[in-house]
Amino acid sequence: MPIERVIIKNYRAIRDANIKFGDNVNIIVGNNEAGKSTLLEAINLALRCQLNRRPAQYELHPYLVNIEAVNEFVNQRKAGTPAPPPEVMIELYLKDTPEVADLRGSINSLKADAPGISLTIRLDDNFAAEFQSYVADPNAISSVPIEYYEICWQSFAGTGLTTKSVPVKSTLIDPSNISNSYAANKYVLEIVRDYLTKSQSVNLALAYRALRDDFQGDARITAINTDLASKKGVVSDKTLSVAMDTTTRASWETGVLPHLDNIPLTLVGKGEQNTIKVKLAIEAAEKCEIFLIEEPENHLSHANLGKLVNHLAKRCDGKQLIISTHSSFVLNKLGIDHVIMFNGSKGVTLDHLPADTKAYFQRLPGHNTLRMILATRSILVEGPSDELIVQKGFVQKHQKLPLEAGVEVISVGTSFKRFLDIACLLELDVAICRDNDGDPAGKKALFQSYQGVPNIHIHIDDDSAARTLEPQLLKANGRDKLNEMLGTKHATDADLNDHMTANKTECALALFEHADQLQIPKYIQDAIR
Amino acid sequence: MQTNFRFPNIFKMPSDNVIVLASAGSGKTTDIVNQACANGGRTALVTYTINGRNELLDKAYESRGAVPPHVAMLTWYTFVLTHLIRPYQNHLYEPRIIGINFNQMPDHARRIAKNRVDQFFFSSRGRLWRDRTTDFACRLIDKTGGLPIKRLEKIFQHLYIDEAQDLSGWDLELMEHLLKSTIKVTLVGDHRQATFSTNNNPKNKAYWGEKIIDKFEEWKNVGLADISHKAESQRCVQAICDFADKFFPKCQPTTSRNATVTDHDGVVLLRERDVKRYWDRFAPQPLRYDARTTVQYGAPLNFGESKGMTFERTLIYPTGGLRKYVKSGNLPDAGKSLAKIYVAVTRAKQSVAIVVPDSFNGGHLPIFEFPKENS
Repeated sequence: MPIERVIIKNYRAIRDANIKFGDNVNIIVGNNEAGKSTLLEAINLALRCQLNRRPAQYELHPYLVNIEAVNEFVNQRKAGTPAPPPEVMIELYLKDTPEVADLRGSINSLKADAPGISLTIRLDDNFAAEFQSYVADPNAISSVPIEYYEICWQSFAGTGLTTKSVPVKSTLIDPSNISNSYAANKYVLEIVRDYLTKSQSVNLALAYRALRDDFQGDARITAINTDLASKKGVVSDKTLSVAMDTTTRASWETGVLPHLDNIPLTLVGKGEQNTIKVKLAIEAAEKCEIFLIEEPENHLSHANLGKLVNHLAKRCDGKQLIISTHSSFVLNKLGIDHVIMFNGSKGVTLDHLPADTKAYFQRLPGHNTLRMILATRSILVEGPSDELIVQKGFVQKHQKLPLEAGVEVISVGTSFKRFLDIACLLELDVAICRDNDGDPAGKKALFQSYQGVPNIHIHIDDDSAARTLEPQLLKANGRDKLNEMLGTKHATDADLNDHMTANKTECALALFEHADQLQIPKYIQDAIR
Repeated sequence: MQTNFRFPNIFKMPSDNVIVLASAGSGKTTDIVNQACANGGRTALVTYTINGRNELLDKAYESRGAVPPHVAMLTWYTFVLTHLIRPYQNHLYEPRIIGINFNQMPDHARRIAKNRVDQFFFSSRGRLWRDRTTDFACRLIDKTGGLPIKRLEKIFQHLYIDEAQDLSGWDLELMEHLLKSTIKVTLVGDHRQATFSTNNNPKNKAYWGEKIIDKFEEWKNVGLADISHKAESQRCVQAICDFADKFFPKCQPTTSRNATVTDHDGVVLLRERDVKRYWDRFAPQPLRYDARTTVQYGAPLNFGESKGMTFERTLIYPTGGLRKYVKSGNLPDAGKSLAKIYVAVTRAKQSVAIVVPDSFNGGHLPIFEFPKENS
């Protein structure tokens, strides 16, 4: 019953997304604003109908609806071309296994015959009249009337769902700060409840009830109550006594707390809580099949993260793991094969890449790939010397390092095309900055197929006489300036050029570290922007 | 995830489907509840009315202590709606189908062209006409190449339909789809008790009421199901069985399993003037054809309502037909309401008294006389 596909419309940052998942490990990477957390939150919402660990209907607020969709709705109203109020829709398409046969049907946006769960947040028909008066004055509308919205949680068979009727067990580990003690307790209790079998839960409840009864029978309590009873007529005409709280509110959940080495779990660090929660869920008798883990690196030390990820990799066989991360460590540990690069609407996996590109990245699992994916913008260069000059140029122009501006400068050797394949798929903003090697036309032709792709910029200088970075630098700065910056005394351009070419990185580093301004060749300036 | 291998049920033979023709009081409800609970795979137990469903539930609690989790007890319309219509309804109709309109369809609605799905099937947005519910399900099955049936096959391995004699109209077409599926279907019913029609769709009019038996025979003949008989009554004493059997002479004679003997057993006629005394003495349950008959003593039940119920003794206020019949012993005299008469007659364990005018004489049944010492 792993999740095979998730379709989301108008949920928070996600306007319209359609993502395919693998049966086992899925690592979601993407920009900070791409909506990775939103994606996990949406999946959890559809699986449990819960937001912030409370029933979702108590947690509805206008910002759950995608802001673009809301603005469109508002503008259409103002323009006098009214459209229906926007709806939030989350659909989980599950793999067809016997446990989820009841959830099968075609009541989904693809009209596909599959088991699945759909959750929509939409205008409640019963509030049609209220909605009408809400929109009566189009100029007064600024958001959606969420108070007239309802949550419709059903299977693809069109049957309404309850938490108990969803045969898919899932666990969400998120780093969000738990704001109140109610939520904190609930979170901790979930840890235990995820683990217990039904009969263990029943036994726990019964034992708790028995304990309350014992309390009442204790001789000391009886004595106290006898004494209190003697005050009848003094404090009240009725008999006053003490007893354990037996109202429904006082179920075992309010009196039982998991402990770790005799320390209440609520007082143990969040990281440890999460580690325990994940591990308990993995070992739970009633199998938890889906784990949603949001950025585990955020609340675990590197060592603990390593342990948890190792544990997951070992024990989550046959379970589905959907994990979002910024950590190249997690990525490398769990395998680049399982990466889903999410840009807010699409999830791209290596399978989407041309076969040779896929093979390239499988052989060379890469930190660099992740850097490019996570960056606002990337400048791809051939080697470290190019990288240093780009860095220098960037600092000169913007008074800060590229990384501080979210720009990654990455040396990729000659593998530009591999990176561009990914950049094309993900619509990443990427500039290529490379030597013309004496054949500008020929080198440009290599990138012919990226012509006109708006997010890909190729920068190759046209001067075939300045074949590489070094002659380009010489051309831009002159021999005297470079001799000065490098602390050399070469008499001819050719000598200086030979020296720089023979000591590429050292020279680039010297130029980078020198306090003076360096004239940056035009094609690199263009890439820096 | 299931690891243990289950024998695929595609090997079901058509004869795995059974139609059980059970006499009144045969204990069929108990039987199917026990069978369903004992089954290995997931099982749906379907009956027509909410009362019927409650009766199944009660039986399950009574004999098992609880309803086992693999058994689902549903009414016919809930079953059709949740399993055969809603999962794929969007192939024919987009708005969620909220429920069924159980009111009588107005005549003008019956004349709407079939291809206008909205008006033909629905009384208002999302409300299906009762009489067109199974029609809609059949159309959906055709439209989707059988998706609802394929889905159901993955959920249930056994399906029991109680009160199968009440199937009518498109129900029968839908039932054929189910009989042809890999689900093992058991239909339990008694055409002699076909007093209730689930819908008024003119489809399959030839099989209305007790003529449903012809359909059962057809299914048997084409190999869709076997017919078995349960011609015994746990409830009625032999004399009552014998009397009831006379209304359906073609059926197998019923054997009584009630060996209890009291001071008053069997079927008798009772003069109107003796009703009060009889009532005081035996406290029988009065049964009448419908509310037009006034009954002086006790809380009477209409014949149709009494279906499925058991009483120690009954007091029957006969229809004109039944009155004629008890005099003449000629079956055609009994009229058309044979099913209702059969139901009424088979409610009592020990005695049935049929009220006749004081002036009544003759007939082929004994007239009840109070023994001398009691007068």
